[in-house]
Amino acid sequence: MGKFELEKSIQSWLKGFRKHRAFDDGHLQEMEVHLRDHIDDLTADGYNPEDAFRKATASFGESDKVAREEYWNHERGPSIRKWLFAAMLKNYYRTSLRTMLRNPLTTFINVFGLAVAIGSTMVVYSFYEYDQRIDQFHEHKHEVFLVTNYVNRDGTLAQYGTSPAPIGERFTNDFPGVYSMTRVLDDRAVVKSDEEVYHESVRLVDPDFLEMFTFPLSRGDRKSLRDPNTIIISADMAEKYFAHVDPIGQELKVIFSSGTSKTFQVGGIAEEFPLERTISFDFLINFENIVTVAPDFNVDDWGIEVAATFIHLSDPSEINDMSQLLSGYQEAQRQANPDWPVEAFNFVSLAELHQRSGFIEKDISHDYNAEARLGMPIIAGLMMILACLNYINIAMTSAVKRLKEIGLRKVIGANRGQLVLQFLSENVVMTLFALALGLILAMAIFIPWFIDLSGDPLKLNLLDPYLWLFSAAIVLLTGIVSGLYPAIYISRYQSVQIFDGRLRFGKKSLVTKLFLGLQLIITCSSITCAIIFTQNNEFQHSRPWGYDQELAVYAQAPDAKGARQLQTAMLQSAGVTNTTLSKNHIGTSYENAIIHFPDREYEVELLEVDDQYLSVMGISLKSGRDFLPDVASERQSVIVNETMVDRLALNDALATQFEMNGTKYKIIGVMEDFHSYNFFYGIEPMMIALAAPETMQFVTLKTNAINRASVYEELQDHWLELFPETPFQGAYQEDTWTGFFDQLYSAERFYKALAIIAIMLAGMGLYGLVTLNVTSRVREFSIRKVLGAGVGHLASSVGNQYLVLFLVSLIIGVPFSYWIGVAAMEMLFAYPMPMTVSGLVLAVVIMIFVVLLVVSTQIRNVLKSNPVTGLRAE
Amino acid sequence: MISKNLTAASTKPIILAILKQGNSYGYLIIKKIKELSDGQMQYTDGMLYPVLHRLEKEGLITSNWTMTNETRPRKYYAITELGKAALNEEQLQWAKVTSVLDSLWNVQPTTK
Repeated sequence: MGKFELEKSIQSWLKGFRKHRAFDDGHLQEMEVHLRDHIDDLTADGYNPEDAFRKATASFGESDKVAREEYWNHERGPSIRKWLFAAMLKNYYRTSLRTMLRNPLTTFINVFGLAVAIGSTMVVYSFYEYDQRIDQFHEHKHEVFLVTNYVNRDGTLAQYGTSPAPIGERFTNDFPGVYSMTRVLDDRAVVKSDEEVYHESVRLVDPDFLEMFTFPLSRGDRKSLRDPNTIIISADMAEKYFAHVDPIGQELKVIFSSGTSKTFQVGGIAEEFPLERTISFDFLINFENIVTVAPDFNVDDWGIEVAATFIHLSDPSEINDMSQLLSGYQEAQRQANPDWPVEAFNFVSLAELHQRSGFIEKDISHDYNAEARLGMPIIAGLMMILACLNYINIAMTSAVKRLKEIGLRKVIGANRGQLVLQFLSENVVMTLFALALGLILAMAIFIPWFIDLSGDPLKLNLLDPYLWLFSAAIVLLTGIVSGLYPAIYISRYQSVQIFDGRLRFGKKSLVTKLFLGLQLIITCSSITCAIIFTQNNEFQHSRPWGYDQELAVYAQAPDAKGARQLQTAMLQSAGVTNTTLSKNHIGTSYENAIIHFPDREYEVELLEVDDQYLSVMGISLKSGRDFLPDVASERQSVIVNETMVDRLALNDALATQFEMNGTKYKIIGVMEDFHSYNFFYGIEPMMIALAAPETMQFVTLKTNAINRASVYEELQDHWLELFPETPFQGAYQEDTWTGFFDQLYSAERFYKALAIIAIMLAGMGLYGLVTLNVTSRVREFSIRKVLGAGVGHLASSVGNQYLVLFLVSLIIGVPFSYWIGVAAMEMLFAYPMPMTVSGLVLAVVIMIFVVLLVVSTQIRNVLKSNPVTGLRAE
Repeated sequence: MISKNLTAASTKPIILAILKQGNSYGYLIIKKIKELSDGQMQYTDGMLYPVLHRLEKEGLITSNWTMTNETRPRKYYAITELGKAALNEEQLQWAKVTSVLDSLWNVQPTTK
C-alpha cells in the first residue's frame, strides 16, 4: 500500500457519490465541503490526515444509503410517476442503443432494410402529395365546374368530358347562379412569327377563361382576351417565338387546320406554369375566332361538341339543384345527335377534376396517375412487410442472446407489460434511425430516380408538417407492428426456465420459418414479375402490328391539294414503290362512325382512304376484294376487319349491307386485324371506306429498307419547296409507337429495381438469420469438427433446415408468382405475352443463387473457424 | 443513546429550530446537534443532506451558496415563514407528546 494522499482519497470518495443519479453537482459540492470541514476540525484536534479522513468518511455514511434517501426526495415530488417513467424510458433507450451497437450486423440489416422500405413509402408519400396538388392552385377551384355527360356505350354508362357546343351559353342564360362560362376547343395550327414557324396547339376559350383558371400573367392584361384579335401566350412560347424582342404587341400569324389564317397581337404572357398542373395552354385566343378557325362550326348546334365547357358559380352548392333541370338540354342534344344520345349531364369541380379524370373520357385534364395511385402503395406495403419480417425474424432469433437480460429483468420485478414496452421502445428507437436513413435514401436516390422514370416532379419538403405526421405514423406503426410479436413472444418465458438453461428457444421456431418463407415467396414473385416484364417487352416489340409499318413513311400536308402535289413529286423518287392518299391514317387519326342495321346500330372506327391504301400499308385481305380504282360505286363500299365481323356477328359478311349517314354501304372485303393503337389497347371493330378526294391530306409512301432514309429526306425537301410556310409534319410509320415502347421500358426498369430491392431485403434477412443460427451453434460445430466432420457434413447441418424451407417456399411461391404475373399482364395489356416456363425457371435460378450465396458464406465461416476458439468461447 | 427512530423523527424540528436561531450550513448544523445532545444523538452525517433538501423542496427552508474570502464556499440554509409555522406546529406536537408521557409517568400505580 502506498503513501496516503488526502486529495486523491477525497476525489475517490466523491467518485463513489457521483455515480448515483440522485445527486446533482450542487449536492456533491455541498458534501465535499462538509467532508473537508470535518477533516479540518479533526486535524486541528490532533488526528493525522489519514485517520481524520477515515473518521470523517465513516461518520458521513455510505453513499448508497444517502443516495437512497435522496431518491425519496425525488419520489415524493409531485411528478414522481412522470419522472419514474422518463427514467425507465431512458434506461430502455440506453439498453436499445447498447444492444444495437453490440450487434452491428443485425442492426445494419434491420435498419437498412427498414430504411429502404421507409424510403419507398416516402416516394409514395411525395407522389400522393404531388398528385393532391395538381391543378389546385386556381383560386376558384371549388366554384368552377366541368360539364360532363354520360353516354350509354354498349350497355355501360361512360362519362365524357366533352360537351355540346351551345350548352355553355345556355347555362349563363338559364341559371342566374352561373355568372360565367368558358368553352374550350383546341386547334392544331401553324404559328408563325417573323423568325419562327411551328405546328402548335392553339386553344380557343371564352374571355372568362382566365378569370376561372387563375394563371397569373407576367406581362399584359388578362382582359385583353376580350379582343378577338389578341393572343395570350405561355412563358415557354414567349421564349420560343420572341427570344430577342419584347413579345407584347408583336404579331403572330396563325394558320388554322382548316387552312384559314389570321394575324393576332400578343396581349399577354402567362407566368411559367406550376409543374403541378394538367390544364394549361400554349396559345389562347377568343372563342369568337371560331368563325375563322372552323367556318362551318355552328355554335348553336347541339350535335357539335367542344373539348370542354366550364361554368363558374357564385355559390357552388347550387350545383346539385342544377343537374335536376337539365332535361331540356338533354332533349335538344338527343334530337341533334341521335347517334350519340346523352343520358345525363353532370358536373365535376375543378378541385376534384384531377382525381376523377381517370374515369372521364376525352377529358382535357387527362390523368396518367390512376394506376400509379393504386400500384405504388401496394409496392411500398410489400417492401414494408419484407422489412418488418426481417426485423421480426432477427429479433426473435437474437433474443437467444438476451434471455439472461430478460430473466434478470423479470426477477427484479419487471412485469410482462414492462418487458413488452421495453422491446417496443427499442424497436421504435431503431425505426427512428431507419427513418432518418430512409429520408436520406428517398431524397438522394429514390426520388431522383423516380423523377427520371416518370417525369413527375416529386419532392420531399422537410418543412411539410404532414410529412412529419406521416413519418411519425410510419415509425409508430412499423415499430409496433414489427416489434409486438417478438416482444410478446420473448417476454413470455419464465425466468426460472431461462436460468435453468432448460429453455430451447428460437432455433426451431415455426413462426420464424413461416415468416422467412413468406419473404422468400414475396421475393420470388418480385423476381418473376421483373423477368416477365422484361420478356413481355421483347414480346411486345416483336408482336406484329398487322400491317407493314417498317417500310412506310407518311406526311400530313396542309391541305388536299398540297397532298396531291407532294404525292406527284414523290412519285419521281426511285425509292418509292407505291403511294397512297388518305383522310385518316393508322396511328394518327380515325373517324367514329355509327352504322345502322335494320334492327340495331353500332359505333365503329372508320378510316377514309384511297384505293391504294391497303396495298401500301401491307394490310392483307382475308376474303372479298380490295377497292376497284376509278369506279364511282366503290364510294358505297367498305372493307371491314375481322374483329368487326366477330363482334357484330356478321355471319355472311360479304353479303351484308348497312346504312351510315343516310347512305347505304355494302361490305366488299374482310381484312386481317391490325393494330391502330399501341398494345395496351385491344383491336376495335374497324372499317375502311373511300374518302372524298378533297379531304385527303395524308400522303403515305411505300419504300424499301435501303432507300427508306433517303426517301424520308426527299419528302422533307419537297415539303420545303411546296410549303415553305409550314413546318414539316411527317414521320416514319414506325416512330408512331416510340412513346409506347418508352413507357414499356420505364416499367421494365421500375420492376427490375423493385426486384433488386426485394432480393436485397430477403437476402439480408436470410443472412442475418443464418448468421445468428451459426453463432448460437458455435460449440456444436466445434465439437463436430473436432470429431472429424467433413465439409459435406457441416454444410448440410447448416443448410438443411433452410433447404427444406426454401423448397417449400418455391413450391408455394412459383405458382403464386405465375398467377401474379398472368394477372398483371392481363390487366395491363390487351394482348399479354403467353406465359412461358422460362421466366419462372430464371426466377428460381436467381433465387437459388442468392440463397446459396448467403448460406455458403456462413458455411465457409464454419469451415474456416478454429474449433479450439469455438470451444473456449462459451 | 437515543434510538434511531426517535432521532429520525426529531430531525425536522431540530433542524428548523437551529435555523431559527440563525442561518447555518450542513456541517455546522450536525456539529451543533452533536454538541447539544452530548453525542447522544447518533447521526450518519450524510443523511442530513437529503433531509435538508427535502425541507427545501417543501418550502420550509431556503438555501444560498455563500462565498467568503477566507473560507470555502458554503451552502447556507435559512428558515422561511412557512418553516417557522411548521416549527410552531412541531413544538405543539412534541409538547403534547411530552405532556402525555409526563402524565403517564407521574401516575402512581393503583395496585401493588
